[in-house]
Amino acid sequence: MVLPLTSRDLIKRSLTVEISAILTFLALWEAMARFKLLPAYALPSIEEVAAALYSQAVLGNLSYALPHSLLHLALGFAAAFAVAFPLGMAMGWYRVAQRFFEPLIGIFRPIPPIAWIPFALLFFVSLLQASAFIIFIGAFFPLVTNIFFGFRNVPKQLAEIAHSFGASEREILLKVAFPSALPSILTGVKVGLGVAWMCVVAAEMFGAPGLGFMIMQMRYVHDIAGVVAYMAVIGALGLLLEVLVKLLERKLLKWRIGLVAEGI
Amino acid sequence: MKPEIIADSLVKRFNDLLVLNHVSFNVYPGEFLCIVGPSGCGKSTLIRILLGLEKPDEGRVEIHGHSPNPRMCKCIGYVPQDDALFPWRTVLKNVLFGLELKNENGEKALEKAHQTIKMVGLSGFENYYPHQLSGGMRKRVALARAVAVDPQILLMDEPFANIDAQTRALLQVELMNIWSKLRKTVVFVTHNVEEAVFLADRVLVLTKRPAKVKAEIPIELPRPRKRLSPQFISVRERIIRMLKEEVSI
Repeated sequence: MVLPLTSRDLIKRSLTVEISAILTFLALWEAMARFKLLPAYALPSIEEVAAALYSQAVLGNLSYALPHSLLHLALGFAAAFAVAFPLGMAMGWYRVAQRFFEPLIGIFRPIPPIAWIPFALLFFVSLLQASAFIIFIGAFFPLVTNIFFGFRNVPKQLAEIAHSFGASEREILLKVAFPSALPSILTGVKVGLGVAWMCVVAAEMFGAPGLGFMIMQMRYVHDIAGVVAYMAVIGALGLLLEVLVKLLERKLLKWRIGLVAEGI
Repeated sequence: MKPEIIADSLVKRFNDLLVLNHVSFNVYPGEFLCIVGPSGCGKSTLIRILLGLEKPDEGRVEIHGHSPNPRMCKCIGYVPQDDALFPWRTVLKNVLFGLELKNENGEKALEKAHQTIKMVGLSGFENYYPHQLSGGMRKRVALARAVAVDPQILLMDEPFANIDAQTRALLQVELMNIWSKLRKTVVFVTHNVEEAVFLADRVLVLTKRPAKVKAEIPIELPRPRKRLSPQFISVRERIIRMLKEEVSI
């Protein structure tokens, strides 16, 4: 009998390997900086970055930038989900909707979020909206494709069982299609959130305050340690977001076989 | 007696392929009807027509005097070929599924579900997920899910396929026990002749595709049936001979 591992088991089991990976990376970085494999202006040492991070925190820049970036992320991602969910569901469930929207998605998906900046600035009055829009573009496509796959691959036999019990189409969508698509939906959330967070620099290049904006500021004043400090904050938060979604996944999908073997 | 299900001269084509060629039969209340036929002859298509999942090109089906529509009658329990359990639902929740759709919730529905689970011998497994169960247990859950809503008619499409012979024989005995208790009308499709003779009041033998009714054979052996009794074997052999004619042509 295979019993699903709890999230606590997984954290206990896996942390040693994961932490040594991070320590190895930090050691390599520090070695490269210390032995001057790259010039100091190009590669700051860990100590310099830590000092830059500390001073940014003391100055209040970090505590100002961080919530702004999270707000951009939350607004953009929520809007993307609100559009992608009904659209992906319709495309997965109705063949006509798939045929109608697929070419449009095919055209818009390759356009990188950064290319939308001029358009975002023209279209939106506030910088907040413009930033959230860039995030929206980043999150939307992974969300809509995965939600679409989830609803398209609902096993026919399961829908037919519901039909035999006299379920309406609404009931079939709610009680069969949605739970069956949930693993795919959560994959979309995981990937979409990751891409959205990657877009935070692009979303704040044009003046909206946040971590991305601070990276640009540090660059203008030639403070490479400051740049890396904000990069590190973005990286760490991205990792945290991913872990949070995986924990959510584990909680919602404990009925799945495949999840048992997967690590964090 | 008035038939509960009337299938009248059903014709079904898939593109140019004629699958059902004027198939007619009646099913009477409380009767256990088995439909046997060579593989690919259209047995599953028949069940799908009875479920309202396919429309016949010609002919008509009446269930309680209406064309098949589970939404209207809510009188059908369906056990498909693969057990088609909901993998995200535990055994108990799978069995509760049909009751939820009938808006039966709370204590009473729970009690009904537990009773049904007990009847198929799965007490103690209520909180297991389908992937944690053996093939035979999954078949039992599929049966319990169909029976829990107390349908008048059970449609079973090769429900014990892909199960080892011993478990299969055991499931047949259990199905007989359950049927003699509940007395549902059953339409049971199989390609296993022994299974049909063991279970049925009447066996409908179909020809190879395009399917017609080749013979209707009432099985008048007393229950519980002994698979090794001479009468059992002689009926079984008779039907097997009929099917062989279909395959060898």
